[in-house]
Amino acid sequence: MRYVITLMPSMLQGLFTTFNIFLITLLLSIPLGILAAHSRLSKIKPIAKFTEFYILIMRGTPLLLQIVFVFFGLPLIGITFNRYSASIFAFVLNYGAYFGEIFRSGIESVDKGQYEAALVLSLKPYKTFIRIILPQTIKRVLPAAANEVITLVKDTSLVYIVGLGELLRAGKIASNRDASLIPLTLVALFYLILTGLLTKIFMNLEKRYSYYL
Amino acid sequence: MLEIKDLYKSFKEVPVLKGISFTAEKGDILGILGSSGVGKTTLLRCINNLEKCDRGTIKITGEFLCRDINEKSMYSSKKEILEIRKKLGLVFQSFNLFPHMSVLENVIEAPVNAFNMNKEEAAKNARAVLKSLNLLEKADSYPYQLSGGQKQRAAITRALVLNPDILCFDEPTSALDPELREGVARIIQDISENRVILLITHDVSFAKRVCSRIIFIDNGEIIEDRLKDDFFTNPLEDKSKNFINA
Repeated sequence: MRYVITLMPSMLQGLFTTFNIFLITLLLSIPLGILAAHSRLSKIKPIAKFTEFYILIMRGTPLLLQIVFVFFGLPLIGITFNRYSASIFAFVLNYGAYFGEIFRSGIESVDKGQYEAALVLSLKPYKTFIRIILPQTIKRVLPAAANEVITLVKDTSLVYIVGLGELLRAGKIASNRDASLIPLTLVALFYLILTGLLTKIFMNLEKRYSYYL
Repeated sequence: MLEIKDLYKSFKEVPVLKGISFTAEKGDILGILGSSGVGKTTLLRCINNLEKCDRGTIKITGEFLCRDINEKSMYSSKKEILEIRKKLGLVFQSFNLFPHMSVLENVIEAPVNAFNMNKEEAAKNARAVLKSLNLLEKADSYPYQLSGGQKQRAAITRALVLNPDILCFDEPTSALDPELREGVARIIQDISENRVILLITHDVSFAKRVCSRIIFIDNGEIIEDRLKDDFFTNPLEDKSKNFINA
């Protein structure tokens, strides 16, 4: 127990970084995802094609590589990020693409009659989207989005590649130093608690949206 | 009030409407009859600007939705269409209620969010119309909790609170039990004063009960346009005869 307590400061620091990257990515990539879904469905061909290409790149290459490219590659063309911003930037771009596809499937699954009803009621396109389409989309994409969010928690460990001290890295350092599995077990426990909490939150959200069929 | 002249519409080179012309005045309850696939719904969708017609003129309360210029329909500007749209109402065959909103929310959505009406005022007005259609006790229910007839009355209320000059119904009885048809017929007649009602149906007895005039469409063309009694007692064409007696 005493050993566990001595591990805590570095672990909590790691957890803090993990949680930060997780939260900021989530807050930025969901709006980006909605935008991406919209652009992908745009009637303006170049916008739709560009978004398709963006999604192809983001889904077609490993996130780890994307972080490396942002941090080590972009400075070559004069764009420099610090470790933290580089990680966030890569994560937001990557998760924005995945959320984009999730939202697109949700938007496309809403019946055409809903748009037509909104149209004959003189609702403007943005009001139609915000008030009629988006709420129905959110309900439909919640399970898929929950998967993505939980994957994000665990993906945050990839930022070790640019030398950021997140939870898993803190555990590994302690584990190597003390030749013990306890730090890693602790790390697993932290991840489990985080994903457990998120699962609960998403279950509640689904329940909140279950007031209609 | 409503003027349709020489309307043509094709889908991928397949002609669906082939020169439809008719007019309607306040108080008319116009039944558009015909078998499936003759172009009834396309006509209604063109009038409601859910489809663009290829040729022809549509004039609504004196304003052009589109006008024929050199055998091509030229549509008015978006702004003008927005104004014309306010004069039109449509009750869809499948109602298309917003499933995430209660009946009351469905009904006040457009008044509040498209016509900038005060929410309390809109709700008060909505409740009055719901009451007149005997649906007030369902104001806080969601569409999935309603029966077919209740859904339809919710959809009618949603269109009615905007006080359209021309109110269209697409197959108003298709989702209803026979015993509910009489109720809908009465509602439609009650709200027909001061406006044009257009209704598509292939329910002969319903058309007989509710309409004042019948337009019979076959293969994209109007083959009869007559007062109801004339049409049902003495149909001129074989196709309409068969339809009535089917």
